[in-house]
Amino acid sequence: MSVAGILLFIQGLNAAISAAPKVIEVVQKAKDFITALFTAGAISKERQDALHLAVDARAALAAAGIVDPAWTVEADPA
Amino acid sequence: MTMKKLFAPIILAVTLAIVGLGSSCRSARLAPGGAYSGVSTNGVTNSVSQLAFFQADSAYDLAYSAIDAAFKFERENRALLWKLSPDIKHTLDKIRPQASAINMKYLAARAAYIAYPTPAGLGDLQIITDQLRQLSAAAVAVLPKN
Repeated sequence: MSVAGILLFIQGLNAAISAAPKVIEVVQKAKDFITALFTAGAISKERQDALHLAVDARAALAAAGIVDPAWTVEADPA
Repeated sequence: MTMKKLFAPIILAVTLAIVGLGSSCRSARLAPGGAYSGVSTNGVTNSVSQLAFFQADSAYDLAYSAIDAAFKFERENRALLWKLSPDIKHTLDKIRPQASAINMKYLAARAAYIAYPTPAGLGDLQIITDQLRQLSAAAVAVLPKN
């Protein structure tokens, strides 16, 4: 493997490590979602309130015109 | 751990969500006192519509989070991913404005539903959520597989 290849590999590892917390968050949401669909029991007050609050917070940001830079189209790298 | 392994759960989750909403289990119910258990339809409390609203918000939240993870991952690792393929950024750049527009559409429809909950309004939420889920699947799919 060339030096450039090794550097690219290390960058890839760093990228994977930096993505992990976000992936865990999405997987947790997926578990919650599936639970909400298929649970035989009640969906707790806490779970309901947390979801409502999260979506309300997103609506408040949108209403204030605050846009995450990751959601905008930026110039291509040089 | 490869990026494929990292993002595989998201792909699975989004797929399950796409399949899941259409076949939701009727046995689930909302505990009293929660934010969704108080929603009424035309002044009449309806447990089916309350649960459906919760599930629509839940599906929206999942799809939004998956898209958000993909966008942020690409932005934070842009230099690396650009070297792998400029198509990754270019494809996500096509999805970004669509995702923003659909997100705003969902939030507006949700506000309308909360103000005046109707079955038609709930149907709108489910349709918009489905669009966002399709975009989330496309956004996650464009990320590197290895």
